[in-house]
Amino acid sequence: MNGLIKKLHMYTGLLNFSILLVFGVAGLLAGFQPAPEKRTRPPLATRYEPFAAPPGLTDQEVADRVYQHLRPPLGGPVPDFALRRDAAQNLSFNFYTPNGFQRVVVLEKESRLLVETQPNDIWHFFSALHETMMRHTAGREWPVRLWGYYNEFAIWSLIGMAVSGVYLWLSSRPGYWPAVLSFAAGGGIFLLLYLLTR
Amino acid sequence: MYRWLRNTHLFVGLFSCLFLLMYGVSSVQMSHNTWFSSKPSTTESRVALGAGGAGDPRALARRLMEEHGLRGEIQQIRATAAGCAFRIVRPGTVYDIDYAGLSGQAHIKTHVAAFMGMLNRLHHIGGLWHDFGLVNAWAFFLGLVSAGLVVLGLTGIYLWFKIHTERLAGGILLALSLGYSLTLMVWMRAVAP
Repeated sequence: MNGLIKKLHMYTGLLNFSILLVFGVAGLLAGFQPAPEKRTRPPLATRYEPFAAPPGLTDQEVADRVYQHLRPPLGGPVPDFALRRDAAQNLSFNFYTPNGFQRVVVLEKESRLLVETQPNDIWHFFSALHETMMRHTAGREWPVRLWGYYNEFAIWSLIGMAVSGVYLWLSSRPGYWPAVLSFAAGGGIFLLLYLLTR
Repeated sequence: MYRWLRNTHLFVGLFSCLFLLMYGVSSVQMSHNTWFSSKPSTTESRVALGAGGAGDPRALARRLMEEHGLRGEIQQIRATAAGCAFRIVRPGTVYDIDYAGLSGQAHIKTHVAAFMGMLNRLHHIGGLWHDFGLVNAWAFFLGLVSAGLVVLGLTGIYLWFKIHTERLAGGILLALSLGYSLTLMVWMRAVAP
């Protein structure tokens, strides 16, 4: 039994090696991210595209038409909860991809779209990859969908490796005091923070 | 070297275990949100703070924290027709406060997330710049555990490689995994946003 669990733990780790590094980088980025007012990003690239929204369409239908028109690479259709009206009552929404996002404002009176593109640097690319979940990738291009499947596999693998790691410790060296201390310290800090926050 | 790295893998893994489980389980919740009910429980209450305080919502918030035990960060301060509104937020708990300047009454809606909702909120913590110190503590340990995850990955590769009988099977799995993930990363990175 112990040998089998050890093999599974090891093979799961090997299958998830690169995505665990992605999770680690994304976590480091999130943990030490600066305050919102101190964040610097590359400037938005702005362009206009001709687009006439047929009259009588709902906001969702207009957003779907814009999606068909722009076909943002790796992006997907915009869900209804992400649709906004700006101060001038223009419909606006974003197309997110692991490489950045496009912010679109539908200028109906001018029959055109304002498209602002924000690319991700390599660190934010990793962060976006860690957020690319299977349920967000339906209808999107294959690389995003395949990454979504990998992400799903990695989530379950992470849980499995955490549990099997504890099992391997308890089944081999349960009385090894530095290990007991590590588990107690990490678990204690987690539970204390959880209770204080709750 | 082998012994030292094996112990590092063990200690880092055990220290990070509950944090990693929290991230894993909350990811399942986000990936399959229909499996879980994440609707918070809501209660309402009223507190008398005295009239004429709408000009300084932060002072009102501080009074609520000091005198009525609300804990968290002040967010989304805005003027309303009757006075002002703001939120006091900590992971898993949101106080929506609506203050009426004339009556001096604060109407407080308290939303408390269930266990899975709480894990979801903890998963989204980041940055060491928050007014609420516990959030900074969570963010610090997020950074520590994330660095630990990288250490676990790298030491895990070393430990596998030292088991000679597992090199072939493990090498095939590692090659498959790297081939799959690196191809997708390069493919996606090459596409304009």
